Amino acid sequence: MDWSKTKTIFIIVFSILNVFLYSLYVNRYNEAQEVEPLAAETTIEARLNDENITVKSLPQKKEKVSYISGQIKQFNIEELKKVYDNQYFDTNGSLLTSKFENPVPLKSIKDASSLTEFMKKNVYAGETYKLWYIDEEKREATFFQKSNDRMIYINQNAVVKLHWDKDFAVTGYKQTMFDSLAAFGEKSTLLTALEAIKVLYEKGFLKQDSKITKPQLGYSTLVPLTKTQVLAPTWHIHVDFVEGDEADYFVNAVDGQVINIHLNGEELKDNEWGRIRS
Amino acid sequence: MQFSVLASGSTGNAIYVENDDHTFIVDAGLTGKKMEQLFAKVDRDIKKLSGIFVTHEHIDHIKGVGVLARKYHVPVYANAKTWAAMDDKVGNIPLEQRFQFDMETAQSFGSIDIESFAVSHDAADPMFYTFHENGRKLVIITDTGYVSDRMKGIIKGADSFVFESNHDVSMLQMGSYPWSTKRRILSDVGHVSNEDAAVAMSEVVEQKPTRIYLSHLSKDNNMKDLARMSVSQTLQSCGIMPGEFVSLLDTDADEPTKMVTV
Repeated sequence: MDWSKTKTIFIIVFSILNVFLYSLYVNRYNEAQEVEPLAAETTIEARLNDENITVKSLPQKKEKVSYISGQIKQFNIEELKKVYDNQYFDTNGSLLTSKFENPVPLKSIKDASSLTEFMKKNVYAGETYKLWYIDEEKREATFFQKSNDRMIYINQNAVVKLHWDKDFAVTGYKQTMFDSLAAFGEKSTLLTALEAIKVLYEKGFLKQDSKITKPQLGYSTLVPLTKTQVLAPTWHIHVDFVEGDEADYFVNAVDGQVINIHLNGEELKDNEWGRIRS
Repeated sequence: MQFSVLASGSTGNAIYVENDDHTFIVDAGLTGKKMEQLFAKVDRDIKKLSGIFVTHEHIDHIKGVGVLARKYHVPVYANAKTWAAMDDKVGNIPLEQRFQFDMETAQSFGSIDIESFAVSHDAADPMFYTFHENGRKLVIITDTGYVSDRMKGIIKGADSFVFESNHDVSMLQMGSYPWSTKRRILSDVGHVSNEDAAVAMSEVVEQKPTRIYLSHLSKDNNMKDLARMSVSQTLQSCGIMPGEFVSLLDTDADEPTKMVTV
């Protein structure tokens, strides 16, 4: 046997094999580079865009806000009588019920400013409440208390409900209120509105073609103590679905939890506080 | 007898107690370096440490035990089951520094008597300690799912309490922890909530000046202001007005409390 020739043949064969294996490696590497990024890596804006979910007026600012605390107000009827002489008051302490001796006509129930004006003139600290919902069928308007110009959402201790008659004159109202609302604990950097929307998107609350109207920052109950409540900064996100339904969602702006707002330990029923179907 | 809560919380726990002759810590749940820094903050010499009393083998209570024991030749005290459970976590501690402190027993160190008592927690054999000297009493009780009548009997009438006020139940329930963790914390072998702690406190404080340090606060499910407010309101509903003879004080995960006499 000619060992010299055999060696040469082996060298040539293994060289060809090496070139072949290297070409396979290069092909696979190039294919890997051409793979499109996974959907999970796309931005939330792109994902909303893909599903035709629109957002109207998106607040961009990253805010640093603290929790707030407030004490449940105990109403004093004698003091109120001195200021509002056209009203009969009754209270169990924290819930004030008022009936007008002579119902007060509203300019228009379609016009929020007419209701707001009524609140300022006829309701104790009425200027600290903001209109949440008008139910024309029930002849009822629901206002939520504000703190730092932000609404306290769906809280039985921070609400006014006005009632009017068929002639659009207010016959009475029920009121609850927090006293001494103040910052509580250290400030936290909040989720942006877009991050809150992302939470809802990832949990499957947002359907294709839905419309999100301006997300609002407010507060919702975090801790209900006996005399006091601690409230957490909360994003309120209203969604109109393509089928004609609508929903209000609340996202804790500190930890990103979607909040199921409960009242007296029971889940809210539709429309109990206006538009609520979260 | 003086003491300071050097650090308290799920990131690490250590409580310093001293008299003229001895300096002790209950747990060393932070790294050796961090423990040295905490000693410096209260202006005490860690080299003079006369003993480490271990409550249970969870890492936030023993992280620095091995390092301190080896570096400063400090005796370490724990019950037999806790020794067995923490042996592989604390590393090699020389035999002459390993001491057994049985559950529900007392040992004297000069004029200080130290008594151990059982708590309800998911560890091998968890126990905490009361310190007695000249008729004064310091109680340390954290990491317990509830405060039993037996525990109340042992801790009653102390002059100072380091008392767990771990979480607010609403925050825990609404928070992001997995359900299994929530269930563990709320269980009888988990941690006591602000309200449950306050109810227990109302049954063990006596009509005399008493300091209560709210400790082992959850980073995610509690706040100092909330713990103080919640405990205060619950105590008031039980007929005790904080500020009259009971003082509620904060503890911190990184900052020692002021050194005070029991």
